[in-house]
Amino acid sequence: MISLPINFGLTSAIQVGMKYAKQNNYDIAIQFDGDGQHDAKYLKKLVKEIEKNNVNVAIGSRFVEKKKPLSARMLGSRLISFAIKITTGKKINDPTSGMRAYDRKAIELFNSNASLTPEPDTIVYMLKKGLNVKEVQVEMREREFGESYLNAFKSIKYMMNMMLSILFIRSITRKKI
Amino acid sequence: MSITLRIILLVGSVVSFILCVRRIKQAKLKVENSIIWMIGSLILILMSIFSDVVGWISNKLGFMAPVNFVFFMIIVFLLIQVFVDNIRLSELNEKIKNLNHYIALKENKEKNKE
Repeated sequence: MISLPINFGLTSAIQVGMKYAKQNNYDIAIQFDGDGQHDAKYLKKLVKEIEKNNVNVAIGSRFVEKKKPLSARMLGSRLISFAIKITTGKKINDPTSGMRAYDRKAIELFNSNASLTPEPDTIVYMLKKGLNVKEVQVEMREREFGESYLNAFKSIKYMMNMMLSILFIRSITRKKI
Repeated sequence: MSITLRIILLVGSVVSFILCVRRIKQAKLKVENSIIWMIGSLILILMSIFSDVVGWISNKLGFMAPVNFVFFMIIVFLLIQVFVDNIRLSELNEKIKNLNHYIALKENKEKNKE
């Protein structure tokens, strides 16, 4: 467990994990929500994808085999999916999923670009860099503890952030590393 | 430019200039950060003294009134300042973040050694 002296937010925490993974020469780094939404039993599935199928980033997705419900909550998810589709041509069904596994190449990208976040726009960046991103069907529960960092106002801010980042910043990522 | 505006500009820029110098003396403001404010207030002082020149320039540039030109200049100046500050803020943020990471990773390493 690495504890940071100052709380600098989710992105910073993920980035320090990526630095740690690189320093210790890890093969795979996993991003995982600690609020009870994610079930650790699916992690093996993600890791297997990376080890066996030459995948660089495996995403634990709720909607590979199942259909995305037509709810207001999923509207944002749909919008982001659409933005990813038009910028990269790839269909990511559950872009906001926080359960992901990254291989060495992706860890390296995290270490070389300090603006990368654990959010959907990073998927676009990784795709543009030529990495192989694959979704794996998982189940997720309702969160057991804590609160989502998204309320009504923050959701709008989050969406604007993501859309602007995907459409105008990550979309022009050059493939050359 | 009306005489009232000239006086306001003059007083305002003289006061800001003095404040700047005092802050530097108290070591609360770095010299390199204050230079831009000092230059800004000096220009405002010059503008309020030589308002004929301002009138001439604004006329040449096609402003409706010299006062518009003065405000325009101030807005441009402030926009640039805010933008530069924003960049600086981001840089500082990045530095603190990296420092934070460095400390955390180091402490973790030391803990593992024990």
